Amino acid sequence: MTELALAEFDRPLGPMAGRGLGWWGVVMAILTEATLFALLLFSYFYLWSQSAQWPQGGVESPALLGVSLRTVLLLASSIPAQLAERSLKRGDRRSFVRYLSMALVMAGIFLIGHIQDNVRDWHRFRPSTNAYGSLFYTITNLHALHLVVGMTFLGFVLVRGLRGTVDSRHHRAVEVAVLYWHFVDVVWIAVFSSLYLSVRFA
Amino acid sequence: MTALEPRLHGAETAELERVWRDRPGIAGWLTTVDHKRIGKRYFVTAFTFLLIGGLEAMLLRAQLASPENDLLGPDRYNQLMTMHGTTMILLFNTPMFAAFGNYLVPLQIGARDMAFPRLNALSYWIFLFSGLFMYASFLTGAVPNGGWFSYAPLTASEFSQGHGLDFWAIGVTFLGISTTVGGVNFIVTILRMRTPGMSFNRMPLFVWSILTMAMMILFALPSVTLAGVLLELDRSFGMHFFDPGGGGDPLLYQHLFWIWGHPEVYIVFIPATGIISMVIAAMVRRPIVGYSLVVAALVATGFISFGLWLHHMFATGLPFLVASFFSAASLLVAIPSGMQIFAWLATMNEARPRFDTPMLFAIGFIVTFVIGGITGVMVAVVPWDQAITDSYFVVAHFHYVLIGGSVMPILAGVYFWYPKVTGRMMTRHLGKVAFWLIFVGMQVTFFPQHILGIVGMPRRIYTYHRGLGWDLMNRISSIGAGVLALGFLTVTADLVVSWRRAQPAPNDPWGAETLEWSISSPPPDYNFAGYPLVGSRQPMWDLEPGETLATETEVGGESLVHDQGGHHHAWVTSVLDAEAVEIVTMPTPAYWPLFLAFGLLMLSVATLSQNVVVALLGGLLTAYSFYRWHGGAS
Repeated sequence: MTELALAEFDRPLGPMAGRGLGWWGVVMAILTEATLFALLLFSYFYLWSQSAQWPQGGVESPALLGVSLRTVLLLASSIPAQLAERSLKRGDRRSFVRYLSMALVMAGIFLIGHIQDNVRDWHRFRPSTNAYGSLFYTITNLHALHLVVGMTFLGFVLVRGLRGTVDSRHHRAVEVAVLYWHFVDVVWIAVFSSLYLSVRFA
Repeated sequence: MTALEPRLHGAETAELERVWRDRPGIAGWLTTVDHKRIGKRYFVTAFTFLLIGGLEAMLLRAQLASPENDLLGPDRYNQLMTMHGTTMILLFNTPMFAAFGNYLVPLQIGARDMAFPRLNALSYWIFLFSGLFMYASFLTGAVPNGGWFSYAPLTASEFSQGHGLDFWAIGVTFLGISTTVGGVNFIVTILRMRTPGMSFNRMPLFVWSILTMAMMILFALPSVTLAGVLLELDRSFGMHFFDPGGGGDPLLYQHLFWIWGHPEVYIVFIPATGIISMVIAAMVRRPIVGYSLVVAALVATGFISFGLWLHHMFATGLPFLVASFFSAASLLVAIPSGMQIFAWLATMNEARPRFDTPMLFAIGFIVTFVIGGITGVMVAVVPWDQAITDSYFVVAHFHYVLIGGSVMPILAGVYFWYPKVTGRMMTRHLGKVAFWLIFVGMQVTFFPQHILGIVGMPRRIYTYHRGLGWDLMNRISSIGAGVLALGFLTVTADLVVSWRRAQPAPNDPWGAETLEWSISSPPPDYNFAGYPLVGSRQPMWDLEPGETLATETEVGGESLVHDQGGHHHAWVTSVLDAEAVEIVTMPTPAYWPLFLAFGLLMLSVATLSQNVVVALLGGLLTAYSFYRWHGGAS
C-alpha cells in the first residue's frame, strides 16, 4: 500500500496556484441561485401559458428602450470587472481601482434606472393587481437584490484595493467578487429576455 | 520523500490539542466550529424531533384506533398530522443526514474539519431556530394545519386564517437556508479537503452518497424555498401567484412543491444507502461488490429523481403524453435502486456476515425497502395511481420507503458508529430487542394500510364510520404503532445506558476499512495529527496485523504538529486526483454564526408578526454578524 501512496506525492505541498475554497463555495451558491431564477421564470411562463391574455388584465407590456440601454450597460460592466481582476494579478493596483470603480458606476446607473422604472410602473400596476404584477415585481426586484449584493462585494474588494490589502499574490476575494458579478449579469440576460423581449415579440 | 512516521501520541501532540480545543464551558459550547461537536448536536436535535414526531404519530393512531373516536377533534388532528409530516421530513430526516455527514465526512476523507467551519455552525443554529420557530406555533394556538405539503388554495389566507400557515411557510423558507448552506459545505469539503491520495475512485461510498445528496440539495431546495416565499407573499402581501381569482394557478404551487418534494425523497434515501454500504462491507469484511456500478447507480438515482415530480400530480388532469413520460421515468428509477440492492446481496454472499445490530437493521432495510419499492412501481403506473391516489395505500407506500429506506439505515448507522462517537460500545442485547420491535412494529403498522387503501379509506381523515370494513385493520395498525414506539424508546434507552455504562470502545471495533477507524474513539479534536496516506479504497484493510496507519506530519520542512502559532491548519488537495496542493489556515470558534442565525430568526418573527422594529433589529444583527464574520472570536 505504502508504495502506491508515495507515488502520489511527487508534487510537493506549497503555495497554491489553483482556486481557493471560497471560490468553489461561491460557484455552488451560484448554481443554487441560478436554479431559483430558473424556477421563477418557469413560474412566469407557466402562468402565461395558463392565461388568456398576457400581461393579464390589460396591463401594457413593459417599454423596451430604456431597459435595453440599461441592459447593454450592465452586461458591459463585466468587462471592466474582469479587467480589474487581470490588472491586480499583474500587480497594477491603480488600474484595478480604476476599472472596478468604472464597473460600480455602470452598475449604479443600472440600479437607479431600475428604481425609476419601478416607480413609474407602480402607477400602472402593482404586485397585488394580478399574478402578472406579482411575478414582474418579484423577479425584477429579486434581481435588483442580487445586484446590490454583487455591488457590495465589488465595493468591499475596492476598499481593500485602496487599503492595499489585495495584490498580485492575494487576490482570491477579488476572484470571488468578480465571478459573482458575472453571475448577476448573466442572470439578467435570462430575466430581460423573458420579462421584456419575449412578451413584446410573442 | 520523508520517512513514514508512526502515529503520534501523548506529549507529542500536546500543542495540537491546545490549539484545536474549544474554550471551556458555555462559551465553547456557543462558539464551537468543530464538525464533530456540530454533528453530535445535529444528531441530538434531529433525534429529539424524531421522538416528537413519533409522539404526534402515536396520537394520530390512537385517534384512528376505533371508528367514530373523539380523542382528537378534526382541528387538532389536522394540526398534528401536518406537524408530524413536517417534523419527520424536514426536522428529523434531512438534518439527521447532516448529522452523519458532518461527523463522518471529514473523518472518512482524512480531513481536520469541514471546508467552511463557521458556515457549518451557522447551518446548525438555523436548523435549531427554524424548528423552534415552527413549534412555537403550539404556544400561539395557531398551528399549521394544511398537511405537510400545504397545498394552495387551501392554504391561502382566505381559507386558512390565523398565523398557522405563516409559521409553516416562513419556517420552511428559513430552514431552507440551513440545508442549502450545509449542501454547499459538503460539496466543497468533499471536492477539496480529501487527504492526498484519496482520488475520486477511492472515496468511501458513504462520501459519494453525501456528495450526491448535496448536489441534489443545490438544485432541489430552491424550489420549496420559492413555494414557501410565494405562498407567504400571497398570504401576507396580497399577491396572486396561486390565486385563480387574480390570474394565478394553484397547480403552480404543486409543481414547485414537488420539483423539490420528489428529489427530497432521494435526498433522504441516497445517504442512507451510503450508510448501508459501509455497514455491510464492515460486517462481511469484504469490499462492496461493483464499487463503480454502485457509484453510477447513486448518481443516476439522483439525476433521474428530478424527472419524477409529476407522478405526485397524476390526478390533476395532466395530458396523456406528459403522464406517460413521467410514469416511464418513475419506473426507470427502480433500475439504479435495484442495482444497489443486488450489489449488497452479492456482497453478503461473499462471506458469512456477523449479525450484530447494525447488520440486522441493514437486512431489515433491504426487506422493508424492497416492499416499498414494489408498491412504488405500482403507484408509478397511472391507472393504478388514479385508483388509489389520496388513499391509505399511498400512506403505506411512503412509510415503507421512508422508514424502510431511511430510518432503518439511520439506526444501522447509529449502532455502527456509536462506539466511534462516544468511545463506548453499545449494550449487547438491547439493540437486538429494539431491532425486532421496530421491524415487526413497522410491518404490523403499515402493511394493513395497503389493504385499507385498496378498500377505499382516504388519507387525512380524522375519523371514519363504523361498519365500512375498516375497523379491524385500523385497530391492528394502531397496535403496531405501539410496538414501533416501544422500539424507538428501547433505542433511546440503549443510547443513554450505553453512554453511561458500557465498555470502552477500541479504535476499530468492527474491523472496518475506512479512515475514521484509524484514530481513537472518540477522535481527538484535531482528528488527524498529519494527513493519512491513502493508497486504496480500504486503507485499514491494507495494514499488516498490529500495524497503525501512517500519517505525514511534515510538509516542506514545516510541521503540522508543532509550532502551529495558534492556527487551525488543514490540507487542501486538487479536485479529481487529490494531489497535495496547499496548507491552509482554517477559521476558529466564533459567536458570529450564532448571532447571524439569531438575526435571521428575528427577521422570520418580524415577517410573521409584521413588526417593523423587530425586522430592523434583526436586519442590523444579521448585517453586522455578516460584516464581522471573518473576525476573531468576537
